[in-house]
Amino acid sequence: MELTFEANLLLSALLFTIGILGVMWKRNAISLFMSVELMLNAANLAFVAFAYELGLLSGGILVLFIMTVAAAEAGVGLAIFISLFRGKHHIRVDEHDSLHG
Amino acid sequence: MNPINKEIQDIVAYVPDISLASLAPFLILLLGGIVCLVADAASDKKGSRRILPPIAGVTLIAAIASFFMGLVPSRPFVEGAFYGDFFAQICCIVCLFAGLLMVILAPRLIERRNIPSGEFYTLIIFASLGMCLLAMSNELLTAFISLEIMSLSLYVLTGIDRRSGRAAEAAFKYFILGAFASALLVFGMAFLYGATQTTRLDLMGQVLASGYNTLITGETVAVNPVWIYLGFTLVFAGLCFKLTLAPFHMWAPDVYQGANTPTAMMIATGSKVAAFAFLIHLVTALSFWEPFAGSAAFIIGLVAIVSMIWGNLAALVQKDFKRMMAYSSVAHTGYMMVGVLVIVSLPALLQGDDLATATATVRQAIALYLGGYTIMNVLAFGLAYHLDGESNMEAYRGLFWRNPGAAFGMGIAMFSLVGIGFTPPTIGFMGKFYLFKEGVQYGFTAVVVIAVLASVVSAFYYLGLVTRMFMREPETGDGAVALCGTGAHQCGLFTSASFTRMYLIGAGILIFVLGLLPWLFIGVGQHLASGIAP
Repeated sequence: MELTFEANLLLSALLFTIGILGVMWKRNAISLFMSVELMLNAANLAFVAFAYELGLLSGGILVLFIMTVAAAEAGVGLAIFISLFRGKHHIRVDEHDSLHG
Repeated sequence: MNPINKEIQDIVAYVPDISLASLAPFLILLLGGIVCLVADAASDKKGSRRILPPIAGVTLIAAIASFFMGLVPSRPFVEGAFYGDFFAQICCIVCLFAGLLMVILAPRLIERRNIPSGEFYTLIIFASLGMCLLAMSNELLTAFISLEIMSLSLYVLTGIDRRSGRAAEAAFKYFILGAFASALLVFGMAFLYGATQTTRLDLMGQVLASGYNTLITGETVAVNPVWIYLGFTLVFAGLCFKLTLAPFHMWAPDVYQGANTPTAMMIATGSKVAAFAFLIHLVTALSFWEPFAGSAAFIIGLVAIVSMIWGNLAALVQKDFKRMMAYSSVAHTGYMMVGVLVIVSLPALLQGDDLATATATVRQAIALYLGGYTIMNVLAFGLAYHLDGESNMEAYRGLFWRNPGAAFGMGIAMFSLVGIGFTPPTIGFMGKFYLFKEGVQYGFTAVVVIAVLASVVSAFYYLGLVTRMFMREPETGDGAVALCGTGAHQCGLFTSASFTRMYLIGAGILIFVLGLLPWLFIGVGQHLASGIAP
């Protein structure tokens, strides 16, 4: 079976939705971050699908940059998780609630 | 031949139009950031605390100067990746000034909280670099990368005080929601790219103006409206997070409260101005598409109204100064959206030269508002930081009797933030006046009326703070804010306290100078853009 443009786009929309649902429901910081990465990869897939369908090169190049940015984001994010973990020895997001008005 | 192979051959044969001189501000900032890192590595802790503030300050001043030297062209440059029109340039300068003021506030923070200085100054410079790139970007990829340069620097700056659990929590919230917002943004960009076959905003405008796509593949294809709507909605939602527009503003109060005050100042001013500049460029491009105006105006207007109302009502009940400022900035971004509404609807009303003139006028009004908003906020945050205190509102009780100067400055900032009725000579009033005038002129009277009513509500909490400072007797005890500049803050060449005073007094004066002579600000911007016309 051939993977058509529509199927690619549908898959990316599906991944994106799973990512959004993950951000909404997951309560562990790492799972939250994985959901965000899933959303970024869904965007990558959409870019590649469009680039291939339209016969353009730019979409594919964009994906390389997005992947690099995602890696940098992971570096910063994990460092922040560690500094959060140092304080309370867990990263369950519900229980970090010291900031309120 | 396969179109992709053909394109590769074209690219190999092509000589790109990249002039390093036009990139001067960015290169200066990049170089300054690297010099900061190297200087930090080469010297000990005390030495780097002494030499880094001057290096960072000079870098930011040099970057501002390079704009005034007219190196940045007011046309698309570097293959259309950037576009330095007057609006973008003025936003860049505002962001760089915010960075400079953060450098002035930094030595004391670093000394007191024992923060690694090399990282701190480098990140300030890189955050400013990201803001400048974002304000000037004319292309989706550049916009995304510069947004991330800015955001990643700010995430780290938020959580850089590692002994503070609240800072870590604030950094975490900012990071997760910021990353979520970027993911929304980039997914939306994929659809805009798919619909218009280009990532450049100016070409996108051309494609959308005709409604047909003949740009690259040569075939005439109708633009798919669903993809444009989907793409714009997602990109707009992503930008709403960065702009703290309701209902995507939930992170702002927590982050402002938990972050150190100089960083909160930078998030409230620089990052917002830059994201706003990109939003303006994006909606300008999309507004050339005829069906866009009505439906986008509905979304933008709704977000604006919700932000004004929600921001002001929530600010009324805050007990913490920085949380109050966070909600106040939600409301202020709501007011700014009036300008976006006008820009979206203009192409449907006017054509040709009239359109160009009207767009320029609206952009001037927005630039004035952004500049005024930044000045008021740097004054308020700077004073809050200078006053040594916790940001608890009760600490400001009777401030006037202990520190008249600081109370007076805060009073000016608060009156200017109210911006209506009895505060005419301030920049806050002038910004609102010009912006709302444009709004009424192009038929958004209802939104403007709501904005004015919301400003009336805002007077309660701004002036509540002023009342606390001026009217009541001083309270002796733990809650009292210590006097300005108590204790010697010796941080080497940049004596933090005296520079901070200069900056605070300068901002206070600027509120009135620009309030009385708003054309000064606009004139600078126009000079920047016109002096180097192609």
